[in-house]
Amino acid sequence: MFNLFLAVFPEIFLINATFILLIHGVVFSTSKKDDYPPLVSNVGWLGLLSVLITMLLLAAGAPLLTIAHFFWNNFFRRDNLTYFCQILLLLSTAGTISMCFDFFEQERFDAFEFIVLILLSTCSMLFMISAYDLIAMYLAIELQSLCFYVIAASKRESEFSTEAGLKYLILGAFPSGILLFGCSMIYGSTGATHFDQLAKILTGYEITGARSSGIFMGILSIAVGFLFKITAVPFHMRAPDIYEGSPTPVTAFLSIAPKISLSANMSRVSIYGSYGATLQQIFFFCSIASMILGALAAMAQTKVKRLLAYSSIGHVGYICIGFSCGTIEGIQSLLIGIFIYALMTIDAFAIVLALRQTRVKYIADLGALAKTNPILAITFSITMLSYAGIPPLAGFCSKFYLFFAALGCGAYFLASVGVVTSVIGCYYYIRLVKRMFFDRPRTLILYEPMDRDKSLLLAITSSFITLFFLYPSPLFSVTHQMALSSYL
Amino acid sequence: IASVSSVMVIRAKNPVHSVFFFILVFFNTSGLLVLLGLDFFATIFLVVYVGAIAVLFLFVVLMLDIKIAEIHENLLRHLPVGGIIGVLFLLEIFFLVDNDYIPILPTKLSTTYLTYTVYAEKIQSWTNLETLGNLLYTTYFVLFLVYSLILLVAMIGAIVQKTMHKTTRVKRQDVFRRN
Repeated sequence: MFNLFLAVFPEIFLINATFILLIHGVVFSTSKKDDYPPLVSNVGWLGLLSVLITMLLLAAGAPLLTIAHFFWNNFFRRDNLTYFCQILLLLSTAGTISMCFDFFEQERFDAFEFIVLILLSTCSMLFMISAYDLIAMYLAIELQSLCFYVIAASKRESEFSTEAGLKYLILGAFPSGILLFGCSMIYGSTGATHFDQLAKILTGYEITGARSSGIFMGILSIAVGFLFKITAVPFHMRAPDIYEGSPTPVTAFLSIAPKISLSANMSRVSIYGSYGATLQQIFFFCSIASMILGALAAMAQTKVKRLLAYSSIGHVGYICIGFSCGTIEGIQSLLIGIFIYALMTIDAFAIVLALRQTRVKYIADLGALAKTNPILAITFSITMLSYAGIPPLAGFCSKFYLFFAALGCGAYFLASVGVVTSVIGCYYYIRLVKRMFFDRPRTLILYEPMDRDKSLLLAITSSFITLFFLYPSPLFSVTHQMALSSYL
Repeated sequence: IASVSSVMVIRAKNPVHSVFFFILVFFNTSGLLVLLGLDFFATIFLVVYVGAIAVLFLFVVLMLDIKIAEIHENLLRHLPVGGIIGVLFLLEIFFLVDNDYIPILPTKLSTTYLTYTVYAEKIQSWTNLETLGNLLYTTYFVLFLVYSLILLVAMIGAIVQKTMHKTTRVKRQDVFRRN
């Protein structure tokens, strides 16, 4: 039993750290003697530290991968997939929190509960990645979404943010309901919620004629709920509004972390739990539609955050290609795509946060960035070109591998649509680059230099993006190991 | 009676009548659950749904200034789309219930967190409450803890919204400035 506690030690640490930070924040920010200090940076640095320590605990627990496989027969499965996905999640959370500090100072944002909620949602995402049961998956998704509803509406003086929070609440609560409906359908039809049991029950599901409609509805509903939450296309309606209205660090967090954890979890459900053509069809359709919409709709955008929202929708389409082919290469390409997507998105949002100081909202504000701040312009263009999939950058490697996996399992239409929409998507990315380098706005906007954390983050991520093609094999072998573990 | 009440929730012109039919739906559902033999679940239904959620609806209806006449005009315009979605849901449900694989004699002790049903074993006759407690705290206690985190987040969220709202609205109501 003690072994099993040790296996979940990172989560225990993170939960305890969250509680301690919450109590610390509450006690000190209401003490009259200290004149109600705004504690958000304090709690923020401590939160960042706790995330990093959690990551260390996780990384040091690598020998546990062989010892503690099951966890109370219900909840977890710790294997390579969870290990690396959790490390990726914690890294991107650490990056996002370090982006926030400047934002707090400028916006006079003094609610320390922001950080506490981010930590809690990270906790829940750690649970979600290792969840091995429908109930556990649903609880973790709910916990994460609930934290996000609150922090999406946290900037109270702009109605934009409140509206975004409300839209996110409705967009999030409804698919949670659908997800729960699917889980209960599957439970009602099979009597099992644990993925192992589901895998055994649903093995001959597609082939034999005894296709129970309850299971079909359940799997469909789970897939629909999941696709809602990662804002894939038929269900993406409110996503650009939410991304635009929330405060920028929240948008950054929102576009990176749930995608990582939901993709990891869903790959478990769809590949291990219920392998078959039902999910493949729906993921097929959604990925094609997401890619097309992400490429086309982003052309008409004039605001930076909406553009990033649509490009993330498009990228989710590419990532769903990895779901659609149920092979190991599919999952591997999915994990590579997620990894590179996380890095690119951290990069992009760090830049948007750096430019936020003078209220950059529209794309036109980026004009002549090359003359006022050339290094930032170069970094931004590297990120944009990587999103577009230009060859020597990391985005190209991920897209290449995704299309390769799709071709390898015979989804020729998917790969060709992917290539075409990638080319179409290049248009608006390159338009951003052009706007930065070659346009001349009516008034030159002068930007303040950004702080140390963001510059460090930008340096790390952009150097990774540019230099990835030189030595991609560690990532490839790691993701191969991750993908294998979800098949065993 | 439950289905008629649920239809009347949508169609009632006065929003207070809507809420009353809502409460009636919940009462009927818990009655049906009692008939199914799930005593604990029916009680919980009453406590949670009627006590908390329907009261919430009632408060919202009280605070919003909904004019009765406006609702009536727009109702028929939404009918086609709403009707299609409602018919689709109904068809799904009929499609599913049509199979006869619903286990009549459940012999598996199964539960999740508080809103699911509990089947008592045939050999030992525990009450519903006992089985729920037994399973919730031993086999599934991790989920219980995660659920408590969810409730914690709900509390934090409500308080955060309140204090952030208060601190940005300092032009008046300085008397109420308590953190």
